[in-house]
Amino acid sequence: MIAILKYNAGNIRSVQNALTRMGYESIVTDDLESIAGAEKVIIPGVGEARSAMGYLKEKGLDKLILSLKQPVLGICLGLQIMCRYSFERNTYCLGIFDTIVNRFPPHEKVPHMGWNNFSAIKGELFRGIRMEDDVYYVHSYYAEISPCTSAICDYILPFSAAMQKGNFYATQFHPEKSADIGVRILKNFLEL
Amino acid sequence: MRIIIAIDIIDGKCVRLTKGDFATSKIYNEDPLDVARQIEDSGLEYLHLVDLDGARNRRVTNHKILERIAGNTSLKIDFSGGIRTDEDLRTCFEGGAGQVVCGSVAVNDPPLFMSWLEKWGPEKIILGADAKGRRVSAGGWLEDSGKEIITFIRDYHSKGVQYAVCTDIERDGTLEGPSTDLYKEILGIPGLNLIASGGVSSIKDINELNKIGCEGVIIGKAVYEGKITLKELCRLC
Repeated sequence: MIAILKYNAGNIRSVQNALTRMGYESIVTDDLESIAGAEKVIIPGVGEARSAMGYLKEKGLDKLILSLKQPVLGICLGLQIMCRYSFERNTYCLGIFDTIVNRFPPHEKVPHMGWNNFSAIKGELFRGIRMEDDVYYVHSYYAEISPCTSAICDYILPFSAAMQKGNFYATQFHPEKSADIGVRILKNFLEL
Repeated sequence: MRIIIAIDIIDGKCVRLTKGDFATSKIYNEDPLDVARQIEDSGLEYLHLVDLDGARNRRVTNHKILERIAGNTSLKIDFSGGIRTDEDLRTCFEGGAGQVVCGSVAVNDPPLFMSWLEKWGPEKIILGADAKGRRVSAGGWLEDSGKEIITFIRDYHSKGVQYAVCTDIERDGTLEGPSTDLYKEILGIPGLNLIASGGVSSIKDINELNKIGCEGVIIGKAVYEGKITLKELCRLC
């Protein structure tokens, strides 16, 4: 069973729908035991870092996530809260990836929205994926490049399009909104 | 079959027309984002966002609304209306459209349409093939292209188009039921993904379109007039 973490963030149902279409069963839950016992855990999310972290702490989910040994995938806000710190309302996050989340300087349109590609892709998540493939982004904050960065996107400046450390994987883009390429990336994660 | 809800915009407001006639415009909500949130909350995923000002002005006009909806909901949005230039197209994609529907350019400037199809790919560029009678209309449905609908779609499909939205203009906004016979005929083109639009008024209509093999269906007035609820639609998918 795949657990999709329920917290006060949007975009959770679209991830579940994508999994259902791919033939995977999943539950949306914030129950500690169900999450601990899941084969895979997905932390989706469109929302804001401070209140998301507040919710995780209140439920004891922050410590639980850090203790997970199965593959975990953070998506969008999910990636950002896996970093050390976010400038979004000055929020200390989970600290899995030792990098900070900053706001895009207003040189071009913010949020960064829509289709864009990535480069320097590495790791199992990107098996069968080419750098010229487009994926779908919607975000105003970005994770700075770090040793955990497993794909880079350049919009205003280069940022982490994906990250990985041990069993923790994350994408800034939305695989569930990225057509066939997104399905492939999700499948790569689900088959880990 | 994908269930796609339409939001049409005039002057920043959510409206419906009958048979594409602007004089029949009826406002259903002052704030399209409010409608989009209702769609998202009901559990549906797909939004067909139509810039009617854009269609009339011949350039994308309500892209700010696209940005607001894309930035504040998780809906997958296809955008249409007034996409005539590379810049229009970029505006749509940078505004968060997952796909765009191009009708007028496909009719009036095939080389430009083909360059878009090549650059963005057939998952993102959808052919808009709206018909009055059996002839394709363009320019906010005001221009009769003289092209026969099946030939038009078949020709583009052979050049790489995978998705086509077909609205029967005479049915659009009428709640008289969709043009199932026309869609059956279009579905004779092997491998084409057809999204049906216009006239849908009941769950029965939707089931019928599903049965004949449509890839998606666009529902507008039936939802706004309460003939079908978003909840009922969510149960279908």
